[in-house]
Amino acid sequence: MTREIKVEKRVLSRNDVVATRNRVGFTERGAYVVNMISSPGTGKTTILEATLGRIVEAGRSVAVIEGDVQTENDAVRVAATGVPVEAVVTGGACHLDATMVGKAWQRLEPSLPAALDILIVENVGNLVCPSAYDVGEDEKVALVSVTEGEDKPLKYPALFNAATTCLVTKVDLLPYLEFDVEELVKNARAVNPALNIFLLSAKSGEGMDEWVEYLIGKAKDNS
Amino acid sequence: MHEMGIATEISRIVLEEAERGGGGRVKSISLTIGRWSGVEVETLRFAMEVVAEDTSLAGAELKIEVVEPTFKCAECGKEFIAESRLTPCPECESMAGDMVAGDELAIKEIEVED
Ligand SMILES: Nc1nc2c(ncn2[C@@H]2O[C@H](COP(=O)(O)OP(=O)(O)O)[C@@H](O)[C@H]2O)c(=O)[nH]1
Ligand SMILES: [Mg+2]
Ligand SMILES: [Zn+2]
Repeated sequence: MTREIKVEKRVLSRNDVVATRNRVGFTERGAYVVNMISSPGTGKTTILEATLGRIVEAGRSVAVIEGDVQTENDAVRVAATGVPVEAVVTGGACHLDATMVGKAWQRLEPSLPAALDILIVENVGNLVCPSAYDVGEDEKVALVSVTEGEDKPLKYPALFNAATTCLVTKVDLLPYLEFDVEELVKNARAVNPALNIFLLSAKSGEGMDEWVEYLIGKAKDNS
Repeated sequence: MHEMGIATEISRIVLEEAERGGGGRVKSISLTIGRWSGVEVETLRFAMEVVAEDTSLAGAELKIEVVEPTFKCAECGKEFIAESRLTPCPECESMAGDMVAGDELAIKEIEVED
């Protein structure tokens, strides 16, 4: 005999439960949490380095969780800025999930100030998979560089739809490229009209202040 | 390529629900997958075959309903399917408002056989 059983469950419901637990921990410490997602090479770590310096200069506290498939290279780069950082080597997995981030947070906690203003998670370089996994962040930040296609948002709507903010990186290269920034912005808004979009370059510093100001504006003042 | 991880979660939940519902061989699994969920349907089918091997899910039929991006008009409230939010409402030509469907990834129901 065949029986029908109603399930009506989100596939990632277990991840959601852990993400909620992470969120409680982050909130208790006062941290605003961003989850940075892009293809490999878009400039996540470079933007991160430039961002951290500016946050610290503004007198605010920040920490980082660095996701990488194989190495701790990015975590080493971030550690050089003096900001507390924990690496998550996923060993092949193409995304961070809530459990990995929760464990990294536990390892990070002893080196954190009692109140932390901002936690930045650099996800594994991948445009598709990370967008499905809530890690407990307040917002997802999608990054796309001007050396990628203008149609990236249309090809990867899952990410741009789930993101709150979009960083268009490496704009210092625009004079050397035939890249239509307006077209990219139009495509990003076609997927998600509410996106906050920042055009920036970690190299020239252009647009960095606006982005960091936005981030600090989102963070609670814990001082 | 996170379909392997997704398939593992589906299999875990389905085995749990089948057990809770009295056990037996799983005959079919009904999924709803949004076009904007980030999951590739054919890749997921393949991953499910791999994960189901040697379990009571082996051979279960995957019934997948793909949900197209659906928006609700902010002006008149009509719900309509569109490629992107640049598509105007077919009723009143206002721009698409909130997304109401198309990003889900859920298990709807399963069929179990004694
Ligand atoms: N011209 C230019 N190159 C950049 C910029 N940001 C990053 N890059 C380069 O892009 C490459 C990848 O950067 P990385 O931060 O490691 O990317 P990730 O994989 O997204 O973390 C490196 O060679 C960087 O030097 C930028 O603003 N301008
Ligand atoms: Mg990096
Ligand atoms: Zn309308």
